[in-house]
Amino acid sequence: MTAPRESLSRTRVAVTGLGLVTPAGIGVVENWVRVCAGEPTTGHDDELAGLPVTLAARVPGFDGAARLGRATAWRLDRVHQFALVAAREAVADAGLDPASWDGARVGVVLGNALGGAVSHERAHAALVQEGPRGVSPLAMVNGPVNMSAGYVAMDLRAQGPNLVVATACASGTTALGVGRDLLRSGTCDIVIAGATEAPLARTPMAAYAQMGALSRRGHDPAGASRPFDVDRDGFVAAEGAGVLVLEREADARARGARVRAFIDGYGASADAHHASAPDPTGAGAERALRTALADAGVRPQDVRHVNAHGTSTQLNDRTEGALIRRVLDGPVVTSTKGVTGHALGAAGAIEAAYTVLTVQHQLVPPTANLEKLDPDIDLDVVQDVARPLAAGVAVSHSFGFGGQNAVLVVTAA
Amino acid sequence: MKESTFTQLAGVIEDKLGVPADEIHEDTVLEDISVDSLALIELTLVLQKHFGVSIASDRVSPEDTVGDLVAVVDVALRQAPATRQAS
Repeated sequence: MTAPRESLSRTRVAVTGLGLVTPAGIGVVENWVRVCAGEPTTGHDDELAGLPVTLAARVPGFDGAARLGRATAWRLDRVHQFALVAAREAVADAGLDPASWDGARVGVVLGNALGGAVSHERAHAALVQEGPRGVSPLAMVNGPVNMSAGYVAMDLRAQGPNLVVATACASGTTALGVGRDLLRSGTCDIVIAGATEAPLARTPMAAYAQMGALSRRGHDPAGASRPFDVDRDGFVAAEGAGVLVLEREADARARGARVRAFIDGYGASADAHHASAPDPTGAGAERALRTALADAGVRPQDVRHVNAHGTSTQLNDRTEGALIRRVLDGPVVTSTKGVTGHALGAAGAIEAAYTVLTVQHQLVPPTANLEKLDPDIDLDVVQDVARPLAAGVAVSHSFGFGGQNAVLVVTAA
Repeated sequence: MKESTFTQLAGVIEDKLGVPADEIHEDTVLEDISVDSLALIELTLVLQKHFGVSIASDRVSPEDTVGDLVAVVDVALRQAPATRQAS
């Protein structure tokens, strides 16, 4: 399957499988139905009781033991359980059988921001309350961010390059870009790429609240995540995972796989500006966007749709709105975070999956809770109901703390 | 009547690992029911809380049997009867 490097660098990379575990549901179909219905998922979270902010979006009814077996679920932090369930779905969706593939040619690239946050927190509580002999040894194979990709490899016999990338809230998008490049370079024949996050532990949630980053719309939980709305006041933390199976187009066609879409462009940059605030000029984000467009060989006016980062914070949505206005030519914009909340490191992968579904089905989900567009944001944002989309090019933005930006260009098959 | 150590231990293993209690026997080897070295330490932490005693995890290894683990727990229970608080 290995081809000369020169031709590989222009090789198209196809998305042949999707797997989703999000507050909008477990499984691709359940997700797509709820996201297209614009039905929000935020509520008050019992586990966060007593914190300044208790709003969160959890995966409803996730039973790791039922899905993975009790022996596996007992050992694995929720963050890894999400990754396994999404990866299994994606591989099955691609029509691939790990029992028969050449595992050495299968890579795993996942994104994550916080690792096993709950495991870290439990280990620390045990240390304080019971001393060092009370600390679970499993904390050290649950807490570190790299472990999600390791567990997916063990579960699916994926023995090629295996890594987790961390670019905060851009991690999922970065993982897909890095994974795509492993196919373009000829390093792998199949890449399981995506991201996972289970951040709803008290320590990180207290810290996010202290930053002032979280919505405090406690009187209206379902309406708390409201990207681009004039009354938005912060993001809602969410959990979940999105996994995509990537293959070179020729390989996918040769085995008769269904190609859902192509990942034709990837761009990344750093603001080099501030720990948490985006560069108000948007210059860093613009570099990532323009790099992705050039990588895909498309012009700004070719972009028909943007799945925005759209976190529902004042600053992000205004800066991103200005960026889209400045660089692109009136694309149809949505932020699916109105439904799902913000799954941090997993958001980019979840939204890449939604973007694939958007170009595949030519339907843009609405931005849930968008009642009155911020007058400072001059964009065509889909409101209330899903809107048909002409065939064409879409982009998905992700911008992380640390000023880390990543953009994907997704094209219809 | 209080359940035997074995019965309680089998119950904990069924609860945590999903191995049906009626498939757990004194001669069941721990690693055959997915209890590797890390899981064994975790399991002893769970058993410490369950029995309310300090259990030496280095006295048993994954190659040992459920019966061996029962013996270690029983030693701990005999050494610290006053703190016993089986649930």
